[in-house]
This record gives sequence, C-alpha cells and structure tokens, in this order.
Amino acid sequence: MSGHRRARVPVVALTPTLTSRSRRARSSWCLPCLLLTLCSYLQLLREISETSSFFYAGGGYDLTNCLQRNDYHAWKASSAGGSGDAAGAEATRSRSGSVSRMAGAGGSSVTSSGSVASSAAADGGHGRHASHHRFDTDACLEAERPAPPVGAVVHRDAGAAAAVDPAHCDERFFWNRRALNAVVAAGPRARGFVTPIMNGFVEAAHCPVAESEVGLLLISRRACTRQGTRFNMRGADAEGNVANYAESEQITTLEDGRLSSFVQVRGSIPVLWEQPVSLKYTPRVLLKGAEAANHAVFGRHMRCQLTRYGAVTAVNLIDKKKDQQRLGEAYEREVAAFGRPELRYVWFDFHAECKNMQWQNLRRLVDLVANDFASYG
Amino acid sequence: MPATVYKTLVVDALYGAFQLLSGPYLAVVSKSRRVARGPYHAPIFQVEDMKWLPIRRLAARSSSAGDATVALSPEEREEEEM
Repeated sequence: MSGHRRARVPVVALTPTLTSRSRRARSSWCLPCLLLTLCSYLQLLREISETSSFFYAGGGYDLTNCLQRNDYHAWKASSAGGSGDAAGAEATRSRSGSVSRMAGAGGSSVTSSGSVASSAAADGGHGRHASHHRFDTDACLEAERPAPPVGAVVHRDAGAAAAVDPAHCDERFFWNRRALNAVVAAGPRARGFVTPIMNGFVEAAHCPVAESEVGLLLISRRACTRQGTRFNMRGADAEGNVANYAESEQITTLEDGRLSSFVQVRGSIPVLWEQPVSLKYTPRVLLKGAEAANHAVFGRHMRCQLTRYGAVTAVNLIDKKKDQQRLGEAYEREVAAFGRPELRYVWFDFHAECKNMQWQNLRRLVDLVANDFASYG
Repeated sequence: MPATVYKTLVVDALYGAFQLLSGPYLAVVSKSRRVARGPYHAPIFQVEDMKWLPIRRLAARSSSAGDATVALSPEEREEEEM
C-alpha cells in the first residue's frame, strides 16, 4: 500500500440508470447484463487457455526442474530408500555431462540481454540500505543447490516416478502452483492429482551421428513472475525478479543411456529501469531508483542465480552507444559493486560485432567465454 | 429410483481451482498430446485444450445424488502413452 497513491473520494450521488422502481423490471435488465459480463469473462479465460497453449507437463517427470535437479531428487530418494532400489529400478543410468553440469564447480551461462536504445535520466528515489542478512531469508535462497556427486549412478524408481513431489518443483516455472494450493495442502493422498504444469516450449529431435542415434531435447521454461510484452515490461522488480526470465535446457541423449544437460537462462537487465512506449522508434530508457535500491535488487537477483546455478557467466548483448550504453554501464557498476568472483561478466556488443549479418563474428563471443564453458565440465 | 444421469468426464490433468465472480471453477486439461520423450523415457505432454467446470453446480447436483459427478483420472495421461 505504501507505494500507491491514495485519494479520498468525495460523496458521490449515484444516478440510477433505470427509471423503473419495480424490482422485477430491474432484475430482468440486470441479469442478462450480469450474465453477459460473466460469460465474457469465462470466455476470456477459455481463450487464454486455448490460444496460449504452450503449457507442458511431464508424465512422472518434473518438467519444472532441469535434469540435474531431477536427478538429485531421484538420487536422494534412492539413497534414502536404501534397499528398495534394486527392485524398483526402472533404469540405471550414469550421468555424463559433457557440455555443462552444475555439480561442484559447475555453473550455467546467463545471457542477460535487453534490446533497448536511446538516453537515461536517473531517478532519485528513496533507497534503503538493506543489510545482506535480509536477502539470505529470500525464499529462492533457501533452496539448496542440489547436485548428485559427479558420476553418481542415479536409480529411477518407476513407482516413485508416477507422482511428482510438489515440494521439489521449481516454483519459478510451476505455473499452476497457486491454483493447486488446495490439492497440495491435502497432502500425499492427493499427490496423484498434482500435475505441475510449465509454460514454455519443448521439442525433441533425433539425429544420426556416426552410426548411432543422438537424441536432442530442447526445453524452455518461462518464469511465472514479471512476464510482459516488449517495452512494457523491463528490468527487475523489488524482489529481484527480472522481466521475461526464461531457462533453456538442452538435453543430449546418447544410445548407451548417457545424458548431458546444458542450461542457460535469460532475462532483462537486473537493475531498476523502464522504457515506456512513445512515438519514437526506440523509446527512451529511464534508469530508476537510487543506488542502494539498485544494489538491493541486483543482489537479490544474482544471489538467487548463484544459489541455483553455481558459478554464472553473464553475457550482456546490448549496444555500446546511446541509451543502451548507459544501461550497460549501470549493469557493469552493479556487477562491480556486487563483487563476487563466481559471477563473470562479459559485454558483447552484438549489433556492432555482427553488423551486416556477419554472424561468424559470434565466434568472438564463444572465444570470450570458452574458459567458462570448459570450467563447467 | 432417482433417474439421475451421470456424466463422467475423463481428463488428462487437473490444472487447478479458481475462484471467479460466478463461483469456484475447476480448470482441467481435457486434451493433450505427447510431444516428446523426456529423459528416462518420461513422456512430455503439451496441453491442447482446457475446460472450465463450475464446481458449485456439480457439487449441488452430486450432493443430491450422493455421488461425484466428475471423475478425474490423473493416470489417464499414462494410458495415452503409446
């Protein structure tokens, strides 16, 4: 409430639109109107659920989590279960993350990019100096960074796999979490009715490589928080959620059962900024908030990333000119103030480097982050 | 003998419950399609159609009949698997 402006409404005389005093007459006028409103609202909901049908669910597989986290829970369950492993094991697979793994020194590559353009006006808000201890109570930080030991054999229990434990789901990508509150509260008895649904994109492909089949699976997960259209939704909110955050996972399956998972996340630049639409082709970027407020928001966002993914390489793809430059510099300042070695920051001016469709220049970016990729496994 | 006709609706998944102005509704996934095989051969389904069922009307009807009107089968999606 504190942030909202409240206004006192003076006494208003209500003018009845119906002249008839008959109750019956009024209801006969109001009811269709009411029904129409309700029907159109329902219709709206229906249309939303039909047209934006990029909702996915895994049968016995928790799609809100990446492979490594799922493996961790399976590994934990099987190591806690003890003797039940051998009988219930559906498949025994050794994991081999050839591209990237989050175990130990692992990490994931963050591409924080915002396509913006034009100048900035710093907005002097009232920032509070929040202590670091406050952030440690953030819900996202309480989540452990799970990873089974490298090379651990993960037993998948066919029986346990039938129902997904909602407590293990990644709430960022668990789109029907709130809608299922009542069912989740009913406990394990109602577990069979809990289907975590994820919004995003899934596609699988197979390609033959050297006489064997390699399976490719691309999973993209959109976060439930701070989604919105271009320009209208930018930057971070007070909780550190950034606009249009998404996690992409590329799973490679080999015929012998080995799997690898490569995880990337993207989001709007995690500082406080806006880009309200105007008649200009590229609306102006407005940097908002005081320094302390930006530190707080950036800290929340990045601590959450580091807790979940381990070391992070942040790739900034915006232009090094005009408004985008100011935004990029604000991002750089925050990274410097954050001062954690696990966060590496790379600014690759995509439009300048690859102008005139010189896409081969992307090689420069790959070279810049080659060491990071190597360190992730 | 009450001549109540029950309609059993088989759904693929329960999306959740919503409180709308006209009362509580259940959102169910009425149609889905397997789009991929995930890791460990787990099927991945895409939601193709959803239905909004008013709970109050169902509850009123079922309480008079003493039986549930809608049978939700969470395992149905498993059967759909080829």
